[in-house]
Amino acid sequence: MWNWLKQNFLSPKSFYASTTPLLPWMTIAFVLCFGYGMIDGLFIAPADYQQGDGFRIIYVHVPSAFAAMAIYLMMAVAAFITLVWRVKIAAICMSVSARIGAWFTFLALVTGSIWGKPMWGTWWIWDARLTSMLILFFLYVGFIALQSVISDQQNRERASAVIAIVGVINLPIIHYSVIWWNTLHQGPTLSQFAKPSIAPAMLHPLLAMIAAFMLFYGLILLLRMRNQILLRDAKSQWVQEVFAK
Amino acid sequence: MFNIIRYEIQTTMRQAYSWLTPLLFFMIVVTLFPLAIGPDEALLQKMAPGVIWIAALLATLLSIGNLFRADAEEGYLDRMLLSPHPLTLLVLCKVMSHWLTHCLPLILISPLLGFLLHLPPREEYVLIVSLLLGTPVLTLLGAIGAALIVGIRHHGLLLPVLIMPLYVPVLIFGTGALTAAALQQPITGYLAIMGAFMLLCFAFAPLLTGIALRIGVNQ
Amino acid sequence: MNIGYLLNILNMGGYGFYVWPAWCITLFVFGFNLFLFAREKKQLKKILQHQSRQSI
Repeated sequence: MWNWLKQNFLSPKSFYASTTPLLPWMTIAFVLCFGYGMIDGLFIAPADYQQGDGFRIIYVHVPSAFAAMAIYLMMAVAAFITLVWRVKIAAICMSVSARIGAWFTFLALVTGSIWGKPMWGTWWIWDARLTSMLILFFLYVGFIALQSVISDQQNRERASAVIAIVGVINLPIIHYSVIWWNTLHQGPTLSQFAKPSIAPAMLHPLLAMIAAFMLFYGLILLLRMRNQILLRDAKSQWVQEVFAK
Repeated sequence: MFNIIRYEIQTTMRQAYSWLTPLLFFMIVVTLFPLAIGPDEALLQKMAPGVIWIAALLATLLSIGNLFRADAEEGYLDRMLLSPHPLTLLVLCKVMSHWLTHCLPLILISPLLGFLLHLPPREEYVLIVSLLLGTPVLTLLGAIGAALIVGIRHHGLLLPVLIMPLYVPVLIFGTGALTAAALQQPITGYLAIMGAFMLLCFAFAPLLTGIALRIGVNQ
Repeated sequence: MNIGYLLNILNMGGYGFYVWPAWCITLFVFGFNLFLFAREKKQLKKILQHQSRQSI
């Protein structure tokens, strides 16, 4: 299996060729998941007992928060591969993922804030999840900032790989520290912010939306990675041929 | 190894500027808070742990950016990388001497600043201990950042932006210990976790700093 | 499909002011990311065109 992966995805040229047939399928899968999630989540799923129709924001907030953290993990894995095996594809994946991940973190913060207003009466609250998400946003932006300052490509990739790995090691520590900090200062109101258990009719569109968000990430990742590959090998023969088509 | 530490300390002490200014920065930042918030004693007492910790954090962060700068400019960095001694050990020496010259003065003067913010004497003791356990972590993590930006000329505030999210756990537990002390609650748990952070950083941070240095020197 | 039904949907049980902007911002973020990709592709095309012209 490793050999199959190495043959078809390791070099930029083979990566580009191998991912070309994937794109239409991913687009279809994304449209289906998002469409189902949106229609079921917005119109068909029953209104929540406590939160009424306001809970429907969950169908964009939870997937974006999930994606934000998942993308950071993938970015860190790509960073590790970049640092240890110096794989070009991994470096490109890491850089592109960071930008997509930052967008999803931003979305999670904004939708979380919008959800907070009708639910808890305030646009922002320093609870564990939102605070963790805010720090994750800073980790993403710090990574992108470091990348923008270093001009040499190889150093940029390796240095930002280091900061990504340092970040991912700290991420669980930060997350649990913030939860601890929250329980420390929260006191009796903790139960108010606890996640209620979710009914199946509400769960299915949520799962679909999570899948849709991850599919969108995969789609944009591949699309932009392919752009980067073409850009980096712009002078080579195979790129000229692809462009000529 | 002690020779290296001694050399580093001597070099730093020779330039009073390099270790004095973080100390003054620390004091001035702490002074700014009452000016901004008001002299209400109860409020200042409540905010004192956070204020002192954040000031110490900023002072450490802003001074550690130059940890490898002089070495890089004078070409010592290449010698460090090629020396027979393990790079991790050299980094550890540099970090320890930096901590002794930059963070120890902060810790020594923190009781005075606590007094200015109406911190009760019992909590002063906890303040010193928490800073004692926390500042090594700040220094070690900051060293990773310093190594990453060693070749970058105009990095501005990039180092704080990169490293500050990593400081969140230490900050939470450092100030948490003080808050617990204020509420007459046991602090051993907080101090134990901070000790764990310190050990973890001692184990991994110099290694990562070495990796970052090798990357940075290739520029 | 009368106006009352549409207004009901827009209202979302009183939470319409929050639900719809949240979803719209989501769609905007998705769309903007696609736009960024498209812009990058256009720039790439320009570079590649310049390249191929040079090689000729």
